[in-house]
Amino acid sequence: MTTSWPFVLLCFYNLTILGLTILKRSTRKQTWRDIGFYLNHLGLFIALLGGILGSADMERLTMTIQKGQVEWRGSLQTGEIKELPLAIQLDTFMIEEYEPKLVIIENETGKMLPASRPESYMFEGVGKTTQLAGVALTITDYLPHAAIFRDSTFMNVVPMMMEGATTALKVKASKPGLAQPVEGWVSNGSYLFPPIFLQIDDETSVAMPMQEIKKYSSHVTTFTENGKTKEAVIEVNKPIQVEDWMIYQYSYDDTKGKYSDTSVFELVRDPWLKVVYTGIFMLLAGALFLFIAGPKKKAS
Amino acid sequence: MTWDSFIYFAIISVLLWGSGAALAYVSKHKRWPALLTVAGLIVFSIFIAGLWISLERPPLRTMGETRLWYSFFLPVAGLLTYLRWNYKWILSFTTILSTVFIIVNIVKPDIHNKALMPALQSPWFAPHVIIYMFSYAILGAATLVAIYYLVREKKINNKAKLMEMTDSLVYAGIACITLGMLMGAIWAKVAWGHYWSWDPKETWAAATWIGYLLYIHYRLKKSSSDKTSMILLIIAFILLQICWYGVNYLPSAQQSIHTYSS
Repeated sequence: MTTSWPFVLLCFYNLTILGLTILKRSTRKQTWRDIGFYLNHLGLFIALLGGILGSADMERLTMTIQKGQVEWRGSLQTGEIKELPLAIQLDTFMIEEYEPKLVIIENETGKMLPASRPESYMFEGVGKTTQLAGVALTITDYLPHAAIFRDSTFMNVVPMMMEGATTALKVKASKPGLAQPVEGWVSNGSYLFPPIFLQIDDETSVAMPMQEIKKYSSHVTTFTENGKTKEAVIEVNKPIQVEDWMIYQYSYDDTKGKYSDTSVFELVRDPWLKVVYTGIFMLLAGALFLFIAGPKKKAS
Repeated sequence: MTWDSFIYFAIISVLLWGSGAALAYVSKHKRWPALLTVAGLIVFSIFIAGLWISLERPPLRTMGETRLWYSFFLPVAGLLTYLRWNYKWILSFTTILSTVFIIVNIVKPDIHNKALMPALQSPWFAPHVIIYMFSYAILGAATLVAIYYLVREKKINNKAKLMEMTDSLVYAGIACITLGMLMGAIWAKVAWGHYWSWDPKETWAAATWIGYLLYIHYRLKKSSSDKTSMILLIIAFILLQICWYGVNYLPSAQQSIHTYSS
């Protein structure tokens, strides 16, 4: 849409109007209120101009790197591979997760209950109790790193520090109408282990959804053509700059979850960024001006 | 403090705001209505602060949490307008609108949990959303004035004063909308790699912004009609509603990177 002819013409028309309005205003007698006018109108003109030129000249690529590898090729949105004037080595990649959560699901559909407003409980410690969709739950054990061994009749959940270990919570569940509480392990599994559900009765089970991601970060070493190397940490919301390029934490191998050894970066180069920022900061100042000065009093 | 205790704080706040608004009609001095409104705001802000602490993150992620701030800022906008322009009806209007949003939060709360996805973990998060909620409240107050005008057009004595107040509200509102939008752009450059991505929320934010710019520029015309100006304000406020939550119900929201309410 933003590359269509009508859109480009509309942008051009807007810029022309803005430019002419600014020129016309500058020929008349100036007052202090004109400061606000120029900040807002010239700021918008500059930001729009930089944005339009930037959208034509900007380069955006993604780069997928495995732990220990060095990469200098990025792929464009079109899938085309491009060599870059810089290389990135992925030293380590880390994911932190939030505490596990428990939900009650309907056995037949797998949907979370109550259907109208699903409830969930975030783990706060062994011995805690909670009410979820009419089920009373007590957490009796917690294994942050667990291995699951099972065959058709037997299942064993044991603590194990290993790649691919999963999170497991042992819970006791009771609800009105149930002869006696059921107790057992619940886990959300990993790429190695399938998840475990604790069946309460014919209709419902306790389940653990995938843990939400708290933070993911890549420790990298960057190399440039003129021989400069730099070690840095890249996180979401904390990109780094290497020469003209901004490097962003973009994604990871989500099939392996927290055991991902692959990090995906986005590299962006926008030669017009400074122009756009100039416009943005003028507009910010213009907005403050509007807020403080308010509308012009009409002579009544 | 959790959402379970919200109803108690809400009832006390609404009672305080309501008595302040009622007093505004009878009291000669502005002191008592103002003090009661401020007392209600203090009670309400204690709940927001408690929720913030118990969630261990700013309560700004879900729709319900933004409604909470909106309910808080409406009486703020009403109070400022009342103190500056002396309209005694504005406090009751903002109290009623705030109560509507409080009731929505009591009847239909969102799922609230502690998780804050990495993209939202930024110093820009709180100012970006809070300033937007503040501007929505001010522009909500301006919309109430517009409705008041359109309903009672023939009975209003001093139209010029009312228009002057409306202009003031819109200028303050669009200043905050602009600040919120530009802070969002600077944050987006840091978080998503580009300052403007034509995300549905961004597109509607731009439409809302243009809507209020239209009002401002139309009002600068010497031959502008007050009625048309007020209608423009209502249209702009509809755009604002689509931007705030309406966009979540549009098919384009499926690709939006601005939806965070799981």
